[in-house]
Amino acid sequence: MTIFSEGHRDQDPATGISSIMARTVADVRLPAGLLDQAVARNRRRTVRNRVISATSTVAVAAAAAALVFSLPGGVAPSGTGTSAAAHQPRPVPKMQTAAYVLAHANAAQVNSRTMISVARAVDGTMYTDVATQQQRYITGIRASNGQPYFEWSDIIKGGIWTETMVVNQGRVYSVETARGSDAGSISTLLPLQAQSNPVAAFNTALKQGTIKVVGHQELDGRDTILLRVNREATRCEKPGYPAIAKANCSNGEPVSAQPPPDDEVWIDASTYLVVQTKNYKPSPTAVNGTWPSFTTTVGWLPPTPANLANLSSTPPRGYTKIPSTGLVKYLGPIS
Amino acid sequence: MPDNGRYGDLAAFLGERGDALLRTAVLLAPGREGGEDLLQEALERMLRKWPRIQGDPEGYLRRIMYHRAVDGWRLRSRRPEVLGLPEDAAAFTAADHSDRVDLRLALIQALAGLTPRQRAAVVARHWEQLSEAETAAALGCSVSAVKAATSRGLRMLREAIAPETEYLPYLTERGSA
Repeated sequence: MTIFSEGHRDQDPATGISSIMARTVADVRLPAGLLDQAVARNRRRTVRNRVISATSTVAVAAAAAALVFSLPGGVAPSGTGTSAAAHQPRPVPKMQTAAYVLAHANAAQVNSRTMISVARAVDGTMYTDVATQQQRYITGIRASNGQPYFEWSDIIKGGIWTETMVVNQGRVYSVETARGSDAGSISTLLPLQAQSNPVAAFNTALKQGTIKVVGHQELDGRDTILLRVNREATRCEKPGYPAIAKANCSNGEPVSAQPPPDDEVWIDASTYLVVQTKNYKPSPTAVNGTWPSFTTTVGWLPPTPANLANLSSTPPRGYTKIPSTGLVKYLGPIS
Repeated sequence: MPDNGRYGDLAAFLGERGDALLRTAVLLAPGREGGEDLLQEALERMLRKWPRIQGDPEGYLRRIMYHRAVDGWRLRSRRPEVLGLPEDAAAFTAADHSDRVDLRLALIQALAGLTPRQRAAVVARHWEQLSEAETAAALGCSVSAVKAATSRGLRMLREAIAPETEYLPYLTERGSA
């Protein structure tokens, strides 16, 4: 018998409140399907976080771009920025000052803050408006009629978070909303909120050696700069990285016996915008020395009316609106 | 059930303890639908670590529920709250137990009037029968904070619920009556 066992609960005559509570919930029974719904939503969240993880790398890498251009003589050929800079014959500039970092981090981000990123991976495409953090995800899984199996979009407007999910396979959709009691609460729903301070992210990465500058690399005919981001060193800390990166942590420390390779990020050498990422999955571990990975290509669009329209999921005419809890019926097979 | 094999153990565990967990969640939320949402969210969080959880999954699940109940999980609630009558409320009322239905409604409404911490403290102390120290550990606060939250919560419950019940003389804090 545990302290939670019902038989352990004495009816305290001194209060009566226990008795009222017992009467109040006496008929409560666990409904069938609650675990199914939790499993489906957990997997849906995993899919979403995986894509968000890739787009979050964009912001971290944008901060890391400051490192690239703060190195004397350009990009270090290999190794960390700090160690490469230390071996230059010329005096090392004061790249460590917050003001210096801030200026470059802002310069690296200014090209993206009015843009719409389009991150394409094998499992789907994520549109993100960097300014408003409005997002739309379209799965790469196809329904029987050839359309995407499902898609969703999130928007926060007027303090109200709204998610529209359309399941083409079942010709149904749901609309969920949540209202924040204050700006701080609603900000927890922002997909990129963990990277809202690029200077802090940069300083942390620099201090921990989690970002390394590999050097120039041609990618599909484009001059890029390759960075390597070591998530393993920081993923168990909080805050700073998405929840999925904190998997396989115990007491704030990674439990993986063999850490995955560093993630790779390619930045356009002229615009500093990320054009491709390669992320290694924390699990399962490597087989024959090869780690499972997924590559995401990132495009950038100006906020024209046509491009902004890509951020919304609009249910086609004839689709049936259902509660979000009913989506598991349609998403179960693929969630 | 999706992936029944992987979560078969969890399904068996819920089959045994799910009702008790949901009852706590209904009081913490408070309300039937809110309780289901709270338990479902706690399950979601536990699923992320399920293969690595060793020992007492119920304690783990309850800690998540208490933490989420206190730190504003309601923001992410997917459904508007409906006060928590069971599905068979109509039949229940028809069976000449309307006074009990009133009592249950009164309690849920009174719990809804408390702050999340007060509500969690009262549920932990007077439903779970946890000690002040155990409640403090569950809520992540000090024992003195538990005492204050419980005392204020009970006082507010007494004021809100007493007109509906015969329990007015008894709604005093445990140990201080």
